[in-house]
Amino acid sequence: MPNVTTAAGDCFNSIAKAQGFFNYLTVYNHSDNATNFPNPNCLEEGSTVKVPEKQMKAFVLTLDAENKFKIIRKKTKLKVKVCKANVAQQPGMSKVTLDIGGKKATATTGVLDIDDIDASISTATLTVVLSDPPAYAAPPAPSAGTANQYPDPILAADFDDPKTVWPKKGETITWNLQVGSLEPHTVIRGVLQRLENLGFTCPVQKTENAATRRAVKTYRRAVENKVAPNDTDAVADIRAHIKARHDD
Amino acid sequence: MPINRTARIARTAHDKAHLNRLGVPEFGVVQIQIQGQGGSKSKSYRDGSSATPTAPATTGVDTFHFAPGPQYNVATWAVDNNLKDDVQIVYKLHNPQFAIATARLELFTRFAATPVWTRDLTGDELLHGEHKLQFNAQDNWDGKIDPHTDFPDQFLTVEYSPYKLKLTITGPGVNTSPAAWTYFHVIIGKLELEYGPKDVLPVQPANPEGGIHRDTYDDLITQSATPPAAGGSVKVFLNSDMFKTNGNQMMDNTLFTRYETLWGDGPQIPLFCKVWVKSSANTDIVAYKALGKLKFLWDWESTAAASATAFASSAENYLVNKTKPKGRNCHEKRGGKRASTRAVFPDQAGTAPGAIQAGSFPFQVEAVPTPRKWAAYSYAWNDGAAASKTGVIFQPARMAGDKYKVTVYVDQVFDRKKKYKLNVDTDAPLTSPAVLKAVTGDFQIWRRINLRKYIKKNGSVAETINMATVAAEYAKAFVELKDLTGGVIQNVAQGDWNNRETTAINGLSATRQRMIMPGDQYNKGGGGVYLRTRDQYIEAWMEEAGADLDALGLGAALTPALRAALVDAAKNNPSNEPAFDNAVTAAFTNHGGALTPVDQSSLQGAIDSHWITVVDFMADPSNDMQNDDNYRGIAKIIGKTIVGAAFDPDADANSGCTIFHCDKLHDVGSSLLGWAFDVTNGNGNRCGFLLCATQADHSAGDSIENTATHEFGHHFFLPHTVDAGERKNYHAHDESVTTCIMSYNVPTEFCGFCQLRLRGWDKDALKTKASKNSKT
Repeated sequence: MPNVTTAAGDCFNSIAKAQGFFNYLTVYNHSDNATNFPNPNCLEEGSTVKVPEKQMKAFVLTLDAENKFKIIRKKTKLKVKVCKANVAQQPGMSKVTLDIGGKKATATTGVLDIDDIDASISTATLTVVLSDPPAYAAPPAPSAGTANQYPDPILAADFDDPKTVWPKKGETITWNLQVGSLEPHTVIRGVLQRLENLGFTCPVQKTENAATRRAVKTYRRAVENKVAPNDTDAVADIRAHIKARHDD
Repeated sequence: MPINRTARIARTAHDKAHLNRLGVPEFGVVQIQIQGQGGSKSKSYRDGSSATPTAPATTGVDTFHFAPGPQYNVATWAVDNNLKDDVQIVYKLHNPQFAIATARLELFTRFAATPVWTRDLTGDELLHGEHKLQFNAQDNWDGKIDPHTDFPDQFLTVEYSPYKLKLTITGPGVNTSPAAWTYFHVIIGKLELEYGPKDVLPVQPANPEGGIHRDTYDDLITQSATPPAAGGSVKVFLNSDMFKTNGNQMMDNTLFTRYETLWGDGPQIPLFCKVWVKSSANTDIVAYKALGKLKFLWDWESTAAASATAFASSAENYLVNKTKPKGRNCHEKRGGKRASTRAVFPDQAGTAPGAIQAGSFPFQVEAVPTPRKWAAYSYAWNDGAAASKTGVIFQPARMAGDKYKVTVYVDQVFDRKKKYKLNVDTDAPLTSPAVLKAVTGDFQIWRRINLRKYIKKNGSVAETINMATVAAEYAKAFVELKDLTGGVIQNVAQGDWNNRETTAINGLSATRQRMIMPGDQYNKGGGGVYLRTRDQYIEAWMEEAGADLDALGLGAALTPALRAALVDAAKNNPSNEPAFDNAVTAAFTNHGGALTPVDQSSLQGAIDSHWITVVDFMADPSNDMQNDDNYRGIAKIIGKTIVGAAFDPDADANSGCTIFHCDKLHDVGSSLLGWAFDVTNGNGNRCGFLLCATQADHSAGDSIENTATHEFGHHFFLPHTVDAGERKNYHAHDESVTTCIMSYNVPTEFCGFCQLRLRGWDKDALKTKASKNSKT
């Protein structure tokens, strides 16, 4: 069988299916694939996956009798969890809908765990309707001060700057999911993809630049609570941490 | 708004547990504060519905303030780059996913929807956590903003304080705290009043009478280098050495008009105010760029108390509670400025900041619009020698006795209609925090007339006028009779005295020259001129008959014995013609035996003619010598001529008064106590007063000081009272007072009418009945 050069959306499950295998392990455990790809679900684009030849399998059949063949197809799952920046918390949500190949799942908790998806489908949509925000509440009034005080007490009403417009209903967030496109955390893009998935504003690219460093710096400040001015803010600095935060 | 995101996720193999966590972007502003020196900081606000995992700080105050811009060194009053009150804009963002797309700092002033300054935060400025906003790579902010019409110096100012600094963020995600803001102030530390430099006053041509603003200024500085503090007072002296040049001017309103010409709308006093700004560490500093076009409201109050003299008090009591400001200062209808449109703080164009220009007032001054239109607004310099200072020309009315208190307020607060808080017509003091005002003590206007010299005829003049007593009387009318003699009393030189008298005597007719007692007039004593009595006069004239006899040219025929007998006949019998005739007959009988009949007849005719001439002259009313009283009248006339001439050249050459003093005008029964005489070339600004009497010549209760006061009063345009023989209908005295110093009665004090005239009031606007000058 020819080797497969991976493209976006490929993982061992999808490759195995495309190559006619019912269990991704057949491919994954072939040759040095497992060594080269520690995570069978995350492949770097352009990687080479070695596909084994299909093996003949002999069966002893009973004549004039009904022989049953049981093909064991291993399922492919999809596990998604909607969270806040603090991944331990979930935002208030009124409805969460996952649509993958017409197969829909709904929840209110933000945890979607579909245990049998078509591994060949590489796009899906996740729609989250957030709970209504709290009603607008005015700011506290400045101190009333004392008689003949100087400076005069602040009168908030004297300032005509535009007032904050608060949404009355919950926001709707729609994720266009590129299923199978998450690359391993060992590559730059894989880290950046995870940052993006976690809500970061971050370019997904193969090289690092100021924008990637700023995202990493944010991660370190906000997640790792590290403010180290001499840090390089390189992707590698957060690689292991974000893998656990996103994947585990 | 709907949010669309992309996520690259992984499938999960059947034997794996890979999870795809999808984070909802969230962000918010936690807080924004300004931190100053010494730990001071402003208070952060945000909507009550805002929420971030980290709660905003509860520290900070609404009264936070700092002093933007560069500072002056107080000692040098020049820029000192080491002095600064930089602050830090500290904000905290909840931006754990770096999802904030825009963050804008906006600085607002009151009543304006448009910010005066904005700054977009970018890059690392949006990172999660706390930031100190960088300006030129430094954490510190000196209050500088981008160019703006209201902030030409690009620094925040007291003028538009308070300020609202607001941080607003947006982005794709859940914005749990879209904005936070803080308020801060730029405030005044204190105000300090001072006199401005003399140079700012107008350059005026010399005027010996007065009216020179710089002279008044010098006098104020001499009294105190700084304006009077609240509760104190200072006298503002207006030199006014102006004296009548003819008698009619005592009756008319010349005093008022000349004083008006001299001092017009009053003296000009440069009042400056040093303005300090409060730093964030609560120290007062000179942040000269931080004032902007802040309005300083200059207000005045009429603080004159009621005069002790009932008439004057009644006249002062004219609409005292109806005018703005109210008070007892001279009302405009009497020539003053109370209720007048003539400004106490006149408009000034001002000059550009830099060096103070001689003769130009540096600060712009304009009248406060209605309703407090008697006050004025001034504006401060933002650079140069008078940076952080403002001021006015304080121009009180010229009316002596008026009293002013000046207050400068910072009129900073305005409402939505741009109406300023202190522009109200309520009575002073205005409600204002103490730090926003500076108050003077009282400026009391005084006229000043200079006493230049005190000169006596000679050392025989024993008494001396107590000038303090005289001055005290004028002080009741707020006129300072300033004694510049230094206590020195000079004597006229003997030679000068005699020469001057001789010259004056020579100018008299022969019949009047004969009144002069021969001899050294100076050495005769302290009297002005020593005269023959009327009898001595006749006797002297009769003695002159000898010359008539000599003129006949009879030679030896006129023996000395005969000549003497004939002269004695005339001299000894000036009022008894038969006796004279008998004496003449006897003279011829006893001494004329050798005479021819013709010679005797000639001598008889000559002696008779002389006798008759003298007798007829003395009896002729047209000669005014028919008795002693008439003779004294002539004596007074020639005495004034001679004594005046003897003293006149010693009158001080400078403007002001000279006192001349002799014991008597003459020694033949002079009743003249004193005399206000016009010195030669007095030009209305030099005058002389001759005291020619002693205390003993005065009635009980009267004095030489009263005489001096009285006679000076004439020079100062005051006429006699009607009952002193002055002509009527000139309306110059309180009709209820008979003991005015300008009367011939034993005086008490100047009547109120006199006092008000001396103070500069309009005589034509006053009635002689006190009650008619009052109005409520």
